Amino acid sequence: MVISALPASAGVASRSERSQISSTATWGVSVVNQNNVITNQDYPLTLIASGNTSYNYFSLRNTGSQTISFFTVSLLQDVIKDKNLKPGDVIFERCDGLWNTTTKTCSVTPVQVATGGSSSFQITTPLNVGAEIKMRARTPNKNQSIGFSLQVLVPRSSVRGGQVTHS
Amino acid sequence: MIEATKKKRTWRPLAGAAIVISVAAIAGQSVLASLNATAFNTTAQNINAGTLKLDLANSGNGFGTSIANVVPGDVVNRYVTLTNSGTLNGIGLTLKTAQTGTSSLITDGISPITTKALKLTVTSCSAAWNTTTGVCPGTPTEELASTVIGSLTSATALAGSTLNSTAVRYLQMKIELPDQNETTVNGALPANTVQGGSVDVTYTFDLKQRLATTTNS
Repeated sequence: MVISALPASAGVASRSERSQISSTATWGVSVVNQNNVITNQDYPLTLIASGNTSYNYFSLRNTGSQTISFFTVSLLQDVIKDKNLKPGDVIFERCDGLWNTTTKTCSVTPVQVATGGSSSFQITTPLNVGAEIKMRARTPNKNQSIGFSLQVLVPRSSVRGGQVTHS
Repeated sequence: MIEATKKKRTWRPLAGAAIVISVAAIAGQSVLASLNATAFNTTAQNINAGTLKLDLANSGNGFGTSIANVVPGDVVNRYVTLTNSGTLNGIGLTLKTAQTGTSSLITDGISPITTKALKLTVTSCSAAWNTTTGVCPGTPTEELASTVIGSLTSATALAGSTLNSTAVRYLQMKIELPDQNETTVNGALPANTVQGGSVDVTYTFDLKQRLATTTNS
């Protein structure tokens, strides 16, 4: 006769396991200038003279993984080299077509979104992943010494709300 | 004369030994010839051990499909089925998780960090879940209250801790990323962000055999 004695902890047990990967979304907008994506730093706005006006062309690109409904661009005045100059003379314009940097024109009617007198402006057009808003800043030549930096902020509330899914 | 006496004394011990051996042989033959009796069951008794087998199957996507692009506030319900396909009733049903990946998705931030990690809630249904609508056609029971995923590394008892042989437990595994505010500046994710993270979670269900019993019959 065989007698086996096992402690209770050595009794029969059964186990099942599975793994699953969860990943999260991102949201953000970066300035793009001449195909360079400016990330993790403010964008210093360098105005380049052309005739009686100075310009800077740049884009605002959705670099996150979600469509965003709005975002904010803060205008940071860095340096005013000549106090007689007027930040309000700097015009920020948006082109929903394409800028022609040679003729200084937009393929559709451009929209003024702010002046340098503002502390910020908001873009409220939904922006898909990878999509861009085409922008430019311009100012009379006498004003080009005004130093601006742009800072782009995208809050959580600019992406879709939470959803409940079943599958 | 003396020589003759000595010869007589030499053979006497040999004769005595022969007598003793003879008596022993006769006595031994009488023991071997005693009666014996044997009893046994004509049909062998079958004794078999029970089995305990816990099967985990996906119901719908279950754990078989990754969860991607989660934003704060999202709730993702996945459905799995546990079956005790063994012959033994099971007790002490527990769940634990092991996870690797982005730490902010595994454990809540500690002040001043305010990030909130993924949470898991487990609910069973007495009948199979509708994995499209999330409707339980029977009676739902909360098996595990909402718990941060990183707090489940030790085996945690489910509310319904028994699972009898052939019994099925229909589970809804609810993963949620609590709503929270983060602002991305200049395209760079903030420190300790929950954005752009990834976690690989392994869910482990354990079941023990029923208590051993002594029976008389």
